[in-house]
Amino acid sequence: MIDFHTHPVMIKELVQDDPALQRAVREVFQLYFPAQPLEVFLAEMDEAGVERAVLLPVDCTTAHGCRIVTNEQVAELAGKNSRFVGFASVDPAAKDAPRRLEKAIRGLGLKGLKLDPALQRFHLDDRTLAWPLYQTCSELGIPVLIHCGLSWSLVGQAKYARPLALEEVAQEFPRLRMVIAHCGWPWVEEALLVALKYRNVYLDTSIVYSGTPGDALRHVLAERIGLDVLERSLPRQLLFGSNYPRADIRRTVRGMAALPLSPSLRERIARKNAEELL
Amino acid sequence: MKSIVKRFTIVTHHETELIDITPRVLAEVEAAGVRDGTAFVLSLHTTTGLTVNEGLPDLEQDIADCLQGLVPDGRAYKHARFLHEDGQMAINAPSHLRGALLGFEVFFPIEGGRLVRGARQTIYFVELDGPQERTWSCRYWGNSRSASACRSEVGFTGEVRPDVHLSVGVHVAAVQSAVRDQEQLAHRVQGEGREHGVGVEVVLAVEHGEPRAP
Repeated sequence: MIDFHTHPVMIKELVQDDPALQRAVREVFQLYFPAQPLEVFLAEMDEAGVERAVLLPVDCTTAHGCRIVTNEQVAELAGKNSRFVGFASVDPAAKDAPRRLEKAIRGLGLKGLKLDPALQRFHLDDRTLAWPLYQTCSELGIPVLIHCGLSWSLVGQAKYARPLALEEVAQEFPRLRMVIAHCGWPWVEEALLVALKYRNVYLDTSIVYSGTPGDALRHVLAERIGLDVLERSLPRQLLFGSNYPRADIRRTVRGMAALPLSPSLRERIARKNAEELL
Repeated sequence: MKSIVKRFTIVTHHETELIDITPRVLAEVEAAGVRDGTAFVLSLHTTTGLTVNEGLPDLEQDIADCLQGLVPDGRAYKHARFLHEDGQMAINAPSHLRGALLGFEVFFPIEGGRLVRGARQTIYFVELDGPQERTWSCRYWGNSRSASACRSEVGFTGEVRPDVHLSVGVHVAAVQSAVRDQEQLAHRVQGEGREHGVGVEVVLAVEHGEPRAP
């Protein structure tokens, strides 16, 4: 199983000697519980039956004056442990953002781009800030995972994160592979529209709003989208994601297991789609 | 009176896990130097437990299975929401409730410097929401071993004034004649103390080993 949506923000070995990261995690990402040893992250994956996890940083230098884990830190984690797949983050407002992204991919070996428009405060259809990054991702052949919908950070603004804006992006960049995180909740229908229409648009299951992961997954995937829609129209465009540590991986895996999915779709969500995307 | 509080950190690797901490508790009792008193063992968390049972793998599994059966995962708990204080989802109600069933502490008397414990009693730290880094603590509280030893071995019966305290440490080999010599010394010191209105506690630490040459 591959968890396509984790944040390496509470790893004690990273946080304890990095006051800037401590501030970023508390004040911007807004997690307030004690950091845990890296060993715990790996044990959590083991306990959940997850073999690999995608690590997502957020560079919000212009919006909030910080980076919520740097590309270098992500690369170091991924370099030391093959179970981690590192994504890059660059500040879209930085003048040399595309060059930074290219450096993170080619120089640090990172495998994709994470954008969080709610925290980075840019519009997904902003041709000045966002278009060059989409272009670079297309040229490099890497996927981009985009936070859409509710941002739990009190300084995040969901108005920047509407999935419908990605329709135009999909039209402009037909080769760009995009992942709409959190199924875009609460704008699930917008996310569904874009994913149904464009085969290079994926949805991840890291839906975190209320109830257990099982409750949220059942409500969004089974009741709002419909399992028959997933089986018929989106079997190759769904990715398992937990949003760890906002939700634990174990319970998200169990929530997925509780859904009455066909074995082939289950396997695609758990592993195959992610493997193809990576 | 002696009171020692110690904290111990462990990393758990499973969602439910019984970890035998008995050797550590026993070792710490030995090191604490408490002769007669109590050992309190506490978890510092709300999704863990402490319990005592026979140290057998099959029983460990039965305890884990029973807790999961008594508090099933799938029930509609109210504690299943975003917790703003943590910035994460609070979706571990079963872990809290299982912890409530077990309790967070165990205690044992200490007698003669040893834990009063049944031969089959194993002390377990129980992880109920792992993997996580966890902390448990021990408080050893009671009479210090050396002061008690003084009273019984030296035969000291004099009244020690609690407001004035003087300790005299005497180390001797475990040879009866040497002990008798030190008893005399102890009584003399004690008598001098009384003359001056000073309570004297004589601490006689007996070293076991070869007798010293006279």
